[in-house]
Amino acid sequence: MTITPLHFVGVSALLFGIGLLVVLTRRNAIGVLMGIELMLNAVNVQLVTFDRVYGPERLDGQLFSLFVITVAAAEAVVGLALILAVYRSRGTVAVDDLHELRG
Amino acid sequence: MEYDWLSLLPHLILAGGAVVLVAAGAASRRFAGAVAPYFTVAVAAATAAAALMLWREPASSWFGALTVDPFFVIFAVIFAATLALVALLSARYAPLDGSDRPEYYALLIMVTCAVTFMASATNLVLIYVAIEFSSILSYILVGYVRGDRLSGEAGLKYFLYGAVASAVMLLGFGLLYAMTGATDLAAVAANLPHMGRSFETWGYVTVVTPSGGAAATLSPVFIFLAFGLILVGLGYKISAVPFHMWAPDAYQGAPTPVAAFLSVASKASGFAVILRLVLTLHGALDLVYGGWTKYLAALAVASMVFGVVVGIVQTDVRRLLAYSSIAHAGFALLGIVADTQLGFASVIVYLVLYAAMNIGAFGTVAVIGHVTGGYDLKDYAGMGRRHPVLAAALAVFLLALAGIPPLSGFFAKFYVLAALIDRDYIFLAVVAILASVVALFLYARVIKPMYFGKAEGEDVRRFSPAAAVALVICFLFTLLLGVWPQLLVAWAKAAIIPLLPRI
Amino acid sequence: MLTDYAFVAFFIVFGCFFVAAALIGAWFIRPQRPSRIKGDIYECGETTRGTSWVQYNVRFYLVALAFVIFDVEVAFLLPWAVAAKRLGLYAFVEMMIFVGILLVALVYAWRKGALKWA
Repeated sequence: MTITPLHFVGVSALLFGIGLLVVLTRRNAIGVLMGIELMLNAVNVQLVTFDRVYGPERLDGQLFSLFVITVAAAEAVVGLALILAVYRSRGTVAVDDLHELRG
Repeated sequence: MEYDWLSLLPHLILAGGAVVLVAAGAASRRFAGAVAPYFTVAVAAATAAAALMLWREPASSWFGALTVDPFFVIFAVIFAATLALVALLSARYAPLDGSDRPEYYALLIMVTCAVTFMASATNLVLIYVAIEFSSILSYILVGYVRGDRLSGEAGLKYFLYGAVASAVMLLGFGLLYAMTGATDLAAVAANLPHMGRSFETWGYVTVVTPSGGAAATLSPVFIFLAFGLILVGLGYKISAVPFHMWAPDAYQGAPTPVAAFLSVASKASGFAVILRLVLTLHGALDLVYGGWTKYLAALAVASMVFGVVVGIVQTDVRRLLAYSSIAHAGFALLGIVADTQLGFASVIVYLVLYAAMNIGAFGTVAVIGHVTGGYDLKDYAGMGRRHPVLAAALAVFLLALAGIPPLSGFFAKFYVLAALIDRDYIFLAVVAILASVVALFLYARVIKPMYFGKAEGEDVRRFSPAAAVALVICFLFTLLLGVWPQLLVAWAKAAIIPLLPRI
Repeated sequence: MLTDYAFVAFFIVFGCFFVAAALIGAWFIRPQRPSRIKGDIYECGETTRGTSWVQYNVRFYLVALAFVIFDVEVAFLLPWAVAAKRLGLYAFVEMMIFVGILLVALVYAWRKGALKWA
């Protein structure tokens, strides 16, 4: 059995699915954040895979994944800061408890 | 020219302005805090001037990462104007008093920088980075009021929805790259029709046409998936149903000037990316799955109907305006559904006119909220007597949003409808008109207590002159462009024509 | 190719079997007379006090957030450094601008007292 790009696509899809599941089922905001990071990294796997498929002299995929890593880091920083702000003002980071904004 | 610094000038002015403001804030808080709003206005003016200077034939630079064309110029001017107006509205906005002022304006300038990149980007990487850049800064701005429970909650909710939506969109970009081997939009458009590289082996594989090979049978599914996923992220940006859930919460919890910024600049930037994608990938979209407009049409109709129906039962004015902005996003989407030159141009016209009246509406709400301390419909009772000028201004902005002639909102809707009827999309036009009629009741819910409600509380105190200037500008635009929209339409057409697919 | 993976699979199976066999074997042989003394922490280590689910100090988060600046900076510095000679002066100046902007951010965090541990 040889490992083809399709296998990597499968791994990436699996990771993305797990991330989405974490996002949908977790009550804790930090847990949701981790799920989001998993989704972003799943895409990274895919990008790097296809970078290899399209040949070594074109680095579009790797370049893209580098920027995705940066964005993920920035997003995590801002997310954590917001979670911290909410925790300070109400002592919980459970997503279900965010229900004071109502029409 | 690959290293075309001139094409970057509007972006550089914004980025430089933000860095200067942050540095000034670290050096002297009081001075920077006092000067910041006016500094921001100056930066916005310089950006608009630099952008207008770049009104020329489309030129791609920085290895195809961005394109400077009239399309970009129009959007850059919208964003710069929004920045200036929002900065003026924020100048004396009381809820921000406990928070850091210079940083607030620096963040506003940086978001504007991000959204101008969204208008010029023609590379998937830059588009993604710009979208995320603007989203991440918006999360901070929404949650900016220190120690405020609602602001924090709104920021976190906006963040959680937004991060998931953008991750899903990123997967769409990833699939697009996987199928075409390119991140440059033009190259993606060229490669899409004959994608379908065999995934079986590593390395260099010959490209197979859609009609031959096993990979080709897979590909339409993937491309369908890719555009669907991208639509999730962009639908979230323009707050179209069903990706709208964040909007009412974010607008209610955010500082109201920030809500004004989000409902105008953020939405317009989403439309800029959608227009750019649709126009560049037009041929590929048609070839791969014809009739793609029907998906956008479904989104548009859902947004319009949902926006007005749910908006009509709201009691918080900011939430009411949020649902109205959802309905407006749906209406503007119809211009893209029409899929003609007039249709695309009508979207730009719509966004410009909508920007003036919506900033005006949110600005008046911010001022009224500031002086009366409330955003509930009850707080608007008798406003017509307590402060006749503010009440009249709000009434005009709301009637413009409803599309009453001769105010500018009428022409915004008129051109979209004309484009629809041109293509014989009678059903869509009828739905749009019905939604507008219902929307009139939505806005009447605010106007009625102002003039027929019993006045409670004392007369309204004076408010900040900076905010007054911003409101007057919005007011003039709403009135004048309602009478005289031809120039704007000509500009919008000039922006669209170079982008139209050559058939 | 296939035999290589079979070897890995065999290794995993054997590893699991070995651990399980050792534990189960020991369980059969050893005498079982539990007491409180035996349950105590053995030889080194303090007796635990309170629950282990403590909140980390907020300062750790602040330092972590500042750390991310430099963490990500390296992700961009490295590809540039690999090709620095070929890219020449132009890329060098660009990189210095990039580092300079991050430096402004660091100075800002410093001025705001984010780096102070007190």
